[in-house]
Amino acid sequence: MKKVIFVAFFAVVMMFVLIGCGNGNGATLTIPYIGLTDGQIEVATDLGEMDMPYNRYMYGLRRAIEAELDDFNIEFVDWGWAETLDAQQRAGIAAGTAPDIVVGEIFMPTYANEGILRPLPQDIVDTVNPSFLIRDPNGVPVAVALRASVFMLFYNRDLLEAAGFDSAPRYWDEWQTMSDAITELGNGEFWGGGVPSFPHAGGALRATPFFRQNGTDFFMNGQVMLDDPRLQEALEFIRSMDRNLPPGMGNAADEGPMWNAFEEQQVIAFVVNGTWQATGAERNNMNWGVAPLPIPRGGQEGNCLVAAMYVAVPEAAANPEASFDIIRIALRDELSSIWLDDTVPSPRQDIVSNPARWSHNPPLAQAMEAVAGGQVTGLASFPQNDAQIWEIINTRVLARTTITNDPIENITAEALADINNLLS
Amino acid sequence: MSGMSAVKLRGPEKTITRAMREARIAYWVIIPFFVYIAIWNLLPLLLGVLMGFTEYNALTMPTWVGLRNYIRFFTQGDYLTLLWRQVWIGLICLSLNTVLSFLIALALNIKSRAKGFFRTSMYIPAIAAVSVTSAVFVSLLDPLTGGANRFLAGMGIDPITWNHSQFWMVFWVVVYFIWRAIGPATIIWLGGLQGIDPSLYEAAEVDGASAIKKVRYITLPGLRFVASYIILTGIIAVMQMFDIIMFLTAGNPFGQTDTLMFRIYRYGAVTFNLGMAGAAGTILGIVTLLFAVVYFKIVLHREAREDA
Repeated sequence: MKKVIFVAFFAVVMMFVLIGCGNGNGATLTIPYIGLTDGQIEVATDLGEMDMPYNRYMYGLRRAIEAELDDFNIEFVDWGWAETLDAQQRAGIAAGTAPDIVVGEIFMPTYANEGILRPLPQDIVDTVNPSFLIRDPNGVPVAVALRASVFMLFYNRDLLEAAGFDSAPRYWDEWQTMSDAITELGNGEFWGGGVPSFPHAGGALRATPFFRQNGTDFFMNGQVMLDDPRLQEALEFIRSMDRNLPPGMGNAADEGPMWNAFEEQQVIAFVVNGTWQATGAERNNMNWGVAPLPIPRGGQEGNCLVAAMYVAVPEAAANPEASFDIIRIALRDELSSIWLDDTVPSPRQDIVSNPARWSHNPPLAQAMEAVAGGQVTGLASFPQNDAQIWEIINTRVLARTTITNDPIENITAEALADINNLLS
Repeated sequence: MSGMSAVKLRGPEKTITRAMREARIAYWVIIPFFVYIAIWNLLPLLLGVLMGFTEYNALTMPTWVGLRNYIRFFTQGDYLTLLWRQVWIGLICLSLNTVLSFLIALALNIKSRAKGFFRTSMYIPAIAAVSVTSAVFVSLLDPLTGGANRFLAGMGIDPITWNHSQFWMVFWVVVYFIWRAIGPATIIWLGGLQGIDPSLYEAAEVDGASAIKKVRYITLPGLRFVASYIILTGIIAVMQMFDIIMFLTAGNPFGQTDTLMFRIYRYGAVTFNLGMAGAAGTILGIVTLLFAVVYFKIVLHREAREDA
């Protein structure tokens, strides 16, 4: 009998041990009352980096939240960014343990389309420039970016001067001429540069302004626009500019080599990047300049929000009012203006509309002027299968355009058929 | 009569033998493992299969769509292309790894002081993290600054834009796979080689058999079960291969090295098309099982024929 009891006890213990082991890292399961989902927890513990604006903002935000919402037990969880963060948040939403605030960038329009986000209170909507809002299919603002940047044309003055140019191009054809000349002069040592077509969101984000300058986009008014001649013309331009990038760099999965080639090796004359590129250029003692993106002749200004940190309150949030209070704190002038020190636009309308606060910083001024009209948005979003459709665009439209010589009409027609399958 | 009324009728005594007692104890010991497997393996498997009949993005409740995902798999998009690519890339990886690891095992099955060093060296790539070693490979393949093109330049050969070519990206996937997998396979072959009775070789030596004949008539038949193990586990491994594709090519150029398993991973963890991930995963599982069963049947058939 003792033997049986011992074996039964052993069996039960083993079962719990095994299940415990299967639970991964054995972390305590605490459902956050108010979760601010980002890598922000590191900020508060890394005071050595407090001179960096990003950290000053995050630490200031956290300190304010903890001081003013002391009724709540606030748990800050580090769920990474991009796909990792999306996966964690979806897991929480599916399991009924959604955080009170969800954070994200390119997947936030999908959340909005699915109707899982609460409408933003009007005072929050009134505080920010409309460029920084995401709306649901009914046009109701449901997410706001705490910060966002736009794309610009950064250039290496030394390489431009070596080729006899003293100012940045204003139009596509000027840019093409300058870039061709620099590439030819470089003879495999340095290049003019072009529009990246990375086979991921980094490519789509940088290509989108060039479609918008031509009056089109990947998705407009409920239509996939791949058969739009204006979009195909922009793709032709992206293809012809790609020959001014080092072979294989413009459409590589890894963006890093391109930014290294611009800032560190300084062998690319032009790159299309967000305002943060100014910091990298300074850090590497470049003789650099910045200009608005060139536009087609007869075209219009066009850009795309990038590096946007959208926040929203999901319908499943346990404490929606307190969550909106956190967003209000995050948008306060004393915190939001910190972004300006990082050459990143603030979403506050009173800052955007007050040039005295940013005109001293040329790249920031250009970005602020771009967003001031309230028309700049992030990537287009599709009503269903958004991420899969973007994958087709990134790989089988953009990357294929610059990797192959296949006719653009064929590329877009094949992709359109696959996308329509996903939308049907 | 009264005496008879006092008799109690009882059923037959249950006799518990020592073997039954031991079996009970064994069951008690095994039960936790069965429970563990049921919770962490069978339940997710079942949920995955069920998910294949739904449309689900983890934001709203799943919708039952019946066989729609399966019909789409066979009629729309490029799922069959992805499945075929998984098979042929896997077949190249598996066959080359099996042959090369066998040849290396033969070479290492010698009496030498250095054999321990070489055996260990062969195994080291298998214990290094894929994410780290694949990053080294990726940096080697950088068209501008990568070591591979620098090497070619040193030889006077024009640089290759590796990431523009399906051929070269598959080539590097195969090289990387073999580099990682050849060590464990070699060690298993070696174990098999050392299990062969040396007296068979001595007898063959006496009969004047050549080295090739010894391999043909002694080594290969003696390694039949080891080969089955390596190939069966290899089939499963290559049909589940996605990490190498993810880190090395990310499916590029423009999806030309994309495979079904990598697509399933993306549907499941990146783009959240969980219904299609469930359906495609079920189909890939069935195909893998079919390959394994067919191979197993071939081995059993050959064994039966040889026994006869």
